[in-house]
Amino acid sequence: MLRAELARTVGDIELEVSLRVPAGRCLALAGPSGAGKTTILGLIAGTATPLRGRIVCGEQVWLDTERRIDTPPERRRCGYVFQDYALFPHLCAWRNVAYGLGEVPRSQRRAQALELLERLGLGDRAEASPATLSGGERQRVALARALARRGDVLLLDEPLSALDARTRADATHAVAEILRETEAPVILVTHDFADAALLGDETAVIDRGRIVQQGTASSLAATPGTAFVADFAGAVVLTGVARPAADGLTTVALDGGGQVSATATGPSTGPVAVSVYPWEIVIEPLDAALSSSAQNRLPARVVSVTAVGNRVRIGLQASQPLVAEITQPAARALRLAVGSRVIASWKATATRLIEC
Amino acid sequence: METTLSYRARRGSRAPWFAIALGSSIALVLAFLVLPVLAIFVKTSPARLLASLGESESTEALKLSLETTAIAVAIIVIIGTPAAFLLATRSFPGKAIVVTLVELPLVLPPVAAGIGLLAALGPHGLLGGALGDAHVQLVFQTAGVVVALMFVAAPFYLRQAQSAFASVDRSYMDASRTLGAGQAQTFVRVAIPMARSGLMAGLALAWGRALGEFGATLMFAGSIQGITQTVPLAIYDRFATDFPSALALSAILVIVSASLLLSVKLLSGPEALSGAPR
Repeated sequence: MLRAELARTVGDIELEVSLRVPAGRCLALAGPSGAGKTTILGLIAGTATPLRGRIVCGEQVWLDTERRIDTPPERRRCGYVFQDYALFPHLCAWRNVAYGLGEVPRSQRRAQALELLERLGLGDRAEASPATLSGGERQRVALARALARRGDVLLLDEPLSALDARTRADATHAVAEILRETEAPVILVTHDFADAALLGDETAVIDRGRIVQQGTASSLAATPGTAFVADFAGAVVLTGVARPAADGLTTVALDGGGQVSATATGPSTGPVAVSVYPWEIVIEPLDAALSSSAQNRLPARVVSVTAVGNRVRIGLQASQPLVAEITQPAARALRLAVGSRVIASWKATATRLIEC
Repeated sequence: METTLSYRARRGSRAPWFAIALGSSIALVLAFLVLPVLAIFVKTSPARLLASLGESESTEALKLSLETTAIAVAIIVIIGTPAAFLLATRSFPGKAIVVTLVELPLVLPPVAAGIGLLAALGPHGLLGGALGDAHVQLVFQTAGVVVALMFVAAPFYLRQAQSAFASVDRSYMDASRTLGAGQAQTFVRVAIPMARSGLMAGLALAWGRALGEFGATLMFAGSIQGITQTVPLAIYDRFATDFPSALALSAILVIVSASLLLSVKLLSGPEALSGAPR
């Protein structure tokens, strides 16, 4: 178990977080760049010092500013994969890995380094210098080096972001495998909610130095606590003012015009954010008879049509911008083009309300 | 159509004009800097050069120059490397003043530097009494030459080394620490190898400066043949009486300095940087 309470000023943001990561679990810290994610890893590894804080790893107190305890980084036992990997350019792949094996007898370092590289499928690249390795290979050398440390904690800073789309799939697999096998608590930093959802057991969304919400990725997406989380998790967010309505529903008068209903589980009066997933929005022609069960119907104009895989993202302008995701055949059947006038509709049950 | 044409014409006429200006400025710079060096070799016959190498006075001066500069540069590197690392990686109050003080000898006239050394370390200088008690004599001694060279050449190394260390990204040092290496080990195994080409360039600059040092050595250590008379002092010694011999000795100094610069550049080339395992 890793427990950390940290406070520090980073640029113009006040970082203040409290983390608990059980052994063998991975906490994903997700948030936009500049939110303070990398700083948190630095504070845990000891390469940066907090204003106030306490870090306890297992039985060991690594940091306690009140008791003036500050263990230097070399004695904290963190496996750390740096954002751009920070492989030593003057050492070949296996020597980079062996650098983390300082506690192993000198005669066994090479064999152990090779074994780690082998495990990550890089046995034949052991003598290569970092400059000659591909992005994916560098990432795996960095993982091997972090594992060589046999840390009590594993810290991964954007381990996938420096990779191109093709390499990413393999690399994600490599990271997932390591996360499965490791018994230490893991903290993974990412600006990509999808990575957090894929690799983290839990996700903490960070904005401006604070954890705004923490939970499983699906729970964050399903019940975002703030508009920021909803936006970050990929949902459409509209703003308006809620009031209770008949039949236990809540009606929201949208800013800029129009209104929607929700089966409220959130606040039922005052300013709110309305969130709905793009794939829950149905698009109908303007002249369609009112024949569906969808309560929420907003007239909108198509402003963009973008193919994403086998789906099409339709950018819509109602009183506020919306995004809908539909299938290719549906888009063709509706003859959707920029400028088309349509009705965007979704069910009240698919509408979540968040207090602003 | 017409506007496109006139635009093209203007671009066309401007580009060569500027290219010519750039080209002629580098030609002027080269001619001015290379001409005197070239003249030394044009005015010295190879036979005269070899003959000069045969004279014991010349070889003595050359040997003394190589010895004193090697010792001075070695001491500069041993003490200056950690100092430069500190200046590059830590911030502390008054750092800007420290950096300025370290760079001061760069702008100090060498003659004034020599006088300063006399006032500090000479028999009647600030520390003269203490040095005398310890039976350390510098004036008119080879050791005095080393001190003068160190004073004048150290800032060249320190400046270069400081910027070399500053350009090593902090994440490499952090990575080293998290991998279990202490501060000293990180300095030796990561910072120095990664700053290597910059350190070598600083070493070459300092050594080159030391080889050509004249004023401070003359004022502080004097010009005694075989003891303090380095090559530049020997050249000056002959300049009034035996100009061809001064020319030949100058040619030798140019060759030594140039080959030093070249070998350091080769040593810190891309092969040395790629870090192939030994």
